[in-house]
Amino acid sequence: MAPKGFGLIKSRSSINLQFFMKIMVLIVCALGFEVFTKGIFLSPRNITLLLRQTAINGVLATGMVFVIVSGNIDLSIGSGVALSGATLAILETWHRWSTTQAVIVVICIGLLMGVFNGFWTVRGVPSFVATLGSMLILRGLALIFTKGISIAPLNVSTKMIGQGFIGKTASMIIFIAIYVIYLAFWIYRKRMARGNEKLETKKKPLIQLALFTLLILVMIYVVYGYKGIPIPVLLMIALMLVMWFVARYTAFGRYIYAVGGNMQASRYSGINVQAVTFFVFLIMGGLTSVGGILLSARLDGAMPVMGYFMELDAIAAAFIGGCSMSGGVGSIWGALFGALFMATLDNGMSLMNISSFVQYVVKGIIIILAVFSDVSTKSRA
Amino acid sequence: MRGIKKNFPGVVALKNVDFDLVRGEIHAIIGENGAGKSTLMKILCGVYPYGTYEGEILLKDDLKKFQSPRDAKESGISIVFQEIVVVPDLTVGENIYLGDMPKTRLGLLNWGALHSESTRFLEKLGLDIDSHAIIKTLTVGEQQLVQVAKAISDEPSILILDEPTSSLTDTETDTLFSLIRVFCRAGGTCIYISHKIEEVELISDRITVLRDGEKIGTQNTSAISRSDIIRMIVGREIKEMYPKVSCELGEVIFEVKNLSQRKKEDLQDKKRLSNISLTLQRGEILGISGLLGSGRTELCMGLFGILPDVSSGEFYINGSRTFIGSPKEAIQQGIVLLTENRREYGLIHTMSTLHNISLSSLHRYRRYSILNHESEKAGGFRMVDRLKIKVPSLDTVVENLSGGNQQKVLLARWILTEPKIFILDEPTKGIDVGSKVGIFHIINDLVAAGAGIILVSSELPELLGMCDRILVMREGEIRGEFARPEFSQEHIMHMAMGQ
Repeated sequence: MAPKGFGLIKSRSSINLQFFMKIMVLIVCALGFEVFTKGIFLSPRNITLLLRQTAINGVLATGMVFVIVSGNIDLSIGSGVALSGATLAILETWHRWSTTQAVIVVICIGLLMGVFNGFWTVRGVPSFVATLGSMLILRGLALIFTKGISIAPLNVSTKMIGQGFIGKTASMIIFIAIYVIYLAFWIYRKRMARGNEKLETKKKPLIQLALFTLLILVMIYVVYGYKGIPIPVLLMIALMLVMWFVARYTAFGRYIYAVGGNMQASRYSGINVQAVTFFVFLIMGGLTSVGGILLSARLDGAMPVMGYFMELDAIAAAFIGGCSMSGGVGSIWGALFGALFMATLDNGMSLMNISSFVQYVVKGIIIILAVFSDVSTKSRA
Repeated sequence: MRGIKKNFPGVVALKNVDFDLVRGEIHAIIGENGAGKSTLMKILCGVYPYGTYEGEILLKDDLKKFQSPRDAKESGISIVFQEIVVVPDLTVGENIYLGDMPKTRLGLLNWGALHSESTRFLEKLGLDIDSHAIIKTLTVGEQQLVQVAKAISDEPSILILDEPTSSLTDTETDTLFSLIRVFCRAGGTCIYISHKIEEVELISDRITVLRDGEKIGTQNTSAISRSDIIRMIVGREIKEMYPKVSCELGEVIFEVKNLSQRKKEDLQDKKRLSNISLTLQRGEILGISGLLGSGRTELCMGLFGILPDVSSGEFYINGSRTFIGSPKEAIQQGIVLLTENRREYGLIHTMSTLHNISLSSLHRYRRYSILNHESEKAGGFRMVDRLKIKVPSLDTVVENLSGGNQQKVLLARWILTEPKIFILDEPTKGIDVGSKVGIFHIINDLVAAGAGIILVSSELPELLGMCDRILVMREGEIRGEFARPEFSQEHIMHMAMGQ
């Protein structure tokens, strides 16, 4: 029995290795683009824009991680983004609502979309089908409400949500604050581990700390070199922190993983499977409306056709980040990586003037390869 | 088959078993669960390929080295498993000729020939089943018969039937028997695996008894009495296997009155519960015995709030009436169920050992709804120590543990919720002997700490060894009760089989 177990520890670290490999691939891609674009790609300005490009998909992918981990899928979020954005524009441009009012209403609509999807899924309609239906319904509603036309412009303060920056000084303070919190947490963890060494897995906390320090330094360089942190990026990071916290430090988060891992066993363990599934879709709906607000704010208006394929981007990001189709496996930071990776490809290939036709092909191949590498290393382990 | 030996990690499943078949005979293999019947058959029909076992298979003096079930099939060995594996949406005829459909000259399906041939074939076997009927509209028993017919249609020289009657009614069983006789009169040989002694006596020419992976003996059916067979099946004397520690029985902590399920009118389902009443005292181990399909598992589900179609039933915990509508409610009231099927209803394979252990007790490690990982881990350590779970780390994914340790992880999950009533459905199924004894020690500790345990098992010696009282179930009802001084293997077995 013992040797079997030791093999397992190895396979666990091989998951970390997998993640490390992925980051290496991302860095190689970035360096490649840097060379091909003659130094434009890694400029603070471009990285800032790239991050801003990541933000919307990042927010959606975060919710999608919960959905996929719980063993479901949500195909409706592209349409949901369109409906949210359209509602925002209608309220502000046609009805002259204030930004706060409009945003609150749009988020409520998002939650309602989640309620709708959750309602049917809990009643046994496969989420693939339920959300396929709501994908059409929400798109239709967006077209009906906007009468099929573009609506612009939005309130100036709304526009700021999508296009604004937090000033350089404020950005620096935020990063330093994040770093201090991380450091405190790191020291705390290390101390706890010392008192509890029996059966403890050997992690490599020093390497973790070093990598995080490096990341913060790079971010400070980027932020200082351009205009500061884009507001959508700040929002994305904040939402991800919240979602990560939910996943790691609440019973609900744990239950999501349990339900996705084995639904029947979860039920037999006393988990209210239906409630868990329902709340996962509720959260997804809320995040979808946030995505819609960010998108229309960035475009300073809304079109009923916006948000096409966004669900697929979010799903792809989640899978590239290591989610398992069969549920029970996945992480928020993986999804951030996935979203970053996709934005890197988009941004880099656009800078190289590669036609968008070719970009589709390349992205498709990359998605398959990314998941294939996951699957093949897992089956070997 | 000569000198067959098969080892699984940690267990010897078969020890030097010799087994021979005479052309045209019906040869029964009987023995308890885990006696090695299925393992032996899986070797014979190529599920365990040549090289994974010791010994040799000779077919008409030819050494056979089957690599796959397909090889075995080509040599004329067909097996029908206990579970029904037919395609439910196709017709009877299509199922029988699946994989070998008659074609027209153009290579298209010849529907006419398909159904006329299968109709003729069914008639020849004496089955009154329409070739055009969709499988899923048939009763479970008829489906099983079609499955046997399908196996015979491959014209095997050796037909293996593994517990074929577990889902058959009495008339269907008769039909099956005549079908087997037709097959053997035409020169086929049949291996018939069963728990049910009276059936075996009826149908077989010779009987081989297996116990704990060893062959106890082969006898002509006509030359052996029923009580001899029972003695051969159960007669083991490993007393230390069951480290029973009797402890003082306390007050009644759990009582069930008249638990019943609605009967479906068109189906006579023997497993449906009717009028189940039982009591459980503090410190008591109450055994539930019964054959496969006697309603044991349904009873467990009923006590845990997950049984469908419950029509009546009252639960009392510590004398006060209570309702159990879901596992969640059951757990909150101190009732837990260790399910028979670990893989499907127990483990979360994607999660670590720790997360599996703490899954049902997260509320204990929570303040302001934030989980405290440190105290969760401490709880996990305590369980690993207490139950002696062999695991390299709490982070080890539970999938990679051995069966016995997985079972202990699930026990740990329940013990952590501090329940008063444990329902253990086949807690030692599929785990090695060492872990079994370990689990019995844990059970002793639990009753010593004042819990009550309902132990459901198909292994009679296990119940006899561990229980204070045994209830015998058959066809969804409790048919008898034995207190420890009255324990007798033969009596219980007779009652379980309905004599």
